[in-house]
Amino acid sequence: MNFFILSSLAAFLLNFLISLIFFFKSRGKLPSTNLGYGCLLASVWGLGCFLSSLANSVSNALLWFKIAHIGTILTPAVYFDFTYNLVKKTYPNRKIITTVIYIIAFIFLALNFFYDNFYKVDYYFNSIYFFRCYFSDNFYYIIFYLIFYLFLVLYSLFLLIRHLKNINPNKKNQIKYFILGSFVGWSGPEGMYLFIIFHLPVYPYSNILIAIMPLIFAYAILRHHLLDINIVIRKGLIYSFLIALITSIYFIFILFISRIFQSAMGYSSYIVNLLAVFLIALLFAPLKNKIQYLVDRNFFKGTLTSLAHEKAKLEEELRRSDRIKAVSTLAAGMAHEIKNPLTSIKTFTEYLDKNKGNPEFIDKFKRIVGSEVDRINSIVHQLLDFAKPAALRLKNCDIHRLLDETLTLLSNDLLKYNIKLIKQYNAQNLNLQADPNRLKQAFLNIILNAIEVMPNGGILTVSTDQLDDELSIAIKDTGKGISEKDLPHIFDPFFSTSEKGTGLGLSITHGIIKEHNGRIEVKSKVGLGSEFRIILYRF
Amino acid sequence: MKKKRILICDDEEGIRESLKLILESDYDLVFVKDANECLEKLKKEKEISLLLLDIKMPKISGLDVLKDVKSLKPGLKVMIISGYKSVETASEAAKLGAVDYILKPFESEEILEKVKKYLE
Repeated sequence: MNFFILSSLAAFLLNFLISLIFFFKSRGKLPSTNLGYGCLLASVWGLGCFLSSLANSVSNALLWFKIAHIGTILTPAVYFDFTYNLVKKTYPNRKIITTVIYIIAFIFLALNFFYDNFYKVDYYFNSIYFFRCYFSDNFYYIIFYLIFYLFLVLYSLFLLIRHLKNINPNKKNQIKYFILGSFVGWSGPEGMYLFIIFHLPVYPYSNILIAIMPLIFAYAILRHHLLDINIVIRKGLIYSFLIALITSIYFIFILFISRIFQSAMGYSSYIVNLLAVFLIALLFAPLKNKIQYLVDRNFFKGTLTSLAHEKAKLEEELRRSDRIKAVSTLAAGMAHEIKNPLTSIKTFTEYLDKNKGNPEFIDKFKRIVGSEVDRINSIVHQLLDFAKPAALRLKNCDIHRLLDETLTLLSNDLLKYNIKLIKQYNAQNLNLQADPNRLKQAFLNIILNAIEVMPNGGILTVSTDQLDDELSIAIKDTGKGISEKDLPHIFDPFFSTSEKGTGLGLSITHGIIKEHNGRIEVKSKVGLGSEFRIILYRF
Repeated sequence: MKKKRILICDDEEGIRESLKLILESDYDLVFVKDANECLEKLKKEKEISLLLLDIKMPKISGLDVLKDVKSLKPGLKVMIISGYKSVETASEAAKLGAVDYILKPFESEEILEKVKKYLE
């Protein structure tokens, strides 16, 4: 057993595991499935190297090495395919290019299996690794393969980096992980081929990097979408160093024990070596944990859960920056909303002396000044609701009952405006933990808007659906719809297209749903109507 | 002498009534509630000398109405009234051909003075 064999095994196991996670989690979505195939191929490489190193004859070693190369040859093509799917650009001739690339890859694959001079095999016993197989000395093979390989990898990287410019910050972080992972993964084999061309005797380190690559990918997609890239790099480097250190100590110990046994008994015993491995493994687990704990405490100021905390912190910061943005929009909107009634009140009081004897003026004064004061009062109340919402009072809620209660409140309006109500309650077993009053407020705001956009009658459809742990509540109207220009702003505080509204209703609704860890999706077509879909999670 | 006609475009009754209080003794006032009505009125009424236009949105897009007005009646004097103290909006309004930019809450003196100045 040597490090090359172990790293091959690690590359196999890790990549295989991650590919399973990708297949399982992606549910057939293209970029993630591609990445699953990529990791599966990397695991084939790991397995091939592992078994090739354990083989007891040159022909066996060669066979496994050829199998390992299925991974090497196909991975760049799959990676390229993945990148295309990820950046989702409809490049001209995209299908043709992808097909041609797969055909070339399969030609190399055929050469790999059926052309005997493709590889040169050296074998060394008592060396750091048992067999060394590599591409033929034939210069043209290597050059052609290398060009193909480099083109795919570099072009993919180019697409990814260019894609970085046009995406939102969260997605950007994800892509950065891919680039980091790709760089780590690819720099292994790339480097190896260059060394082979120049006949440099270099330790085959690529397995180690190939084992790290899926870890970065997995880490990026499945757990830490929002985590800053620096944390991953720091953590990755420190842990790699730590693992290398621990493994070295581990091997030195085993070697030491086997030497002691040999010098004492005069022969080497596998059983004793295995026992030593077992013993040291037992001793090492607590030691490793201790070292890891120390590293975490000193470098990351926390325990193993520090990453989760850092993620939560980052998310909180994002939320806060959202909030700051909301507050500044709020301040601007409020200025306008309050300045209007202030202007009227000011002008009317200014003209009071002049018009004291005018009953028409006095009537208008009472009506307008009165309603403007009410308006300021209502804005201040809503603002308080928005800025400092009371803590959620979670209870077991029946969503259908909440919807019915809200609709009852509005039944007069529905009648008045000749709006037909359709209820489609498809969800069942609704044990949802939520704040009933605030959810009702959220529903009310959306339904009020729906009623407002159907002054001449229409159909209001309220439906619920359930998928796994997701519960969706859809409120659909047949009103005038929201224009594409307005759609991104409907949740902004004080954004309103109606004369009556303050523009706070939907932004309050948005806040309530976010507090429940849910989300709102809006679909709208001008002239046809809008659909607000609230998605809540059962927890 | 015939009173000069001013078109006032504001969606809020309070503001319309306030401007009425300030201006009605000296000018002939026409009121509209929104941009569409404003453009309709401008097409029909030939004798409008000044437009007082309320800008509701803080963004430049709020000035779209002004663009439309100016393309319909390039020579018409337009005064913008807004609750937002925004240099960008004000300079953009000036670029689009507005003669002045009045901030809410306004003083009746200020309105009278400026209206007089542009109608002389």
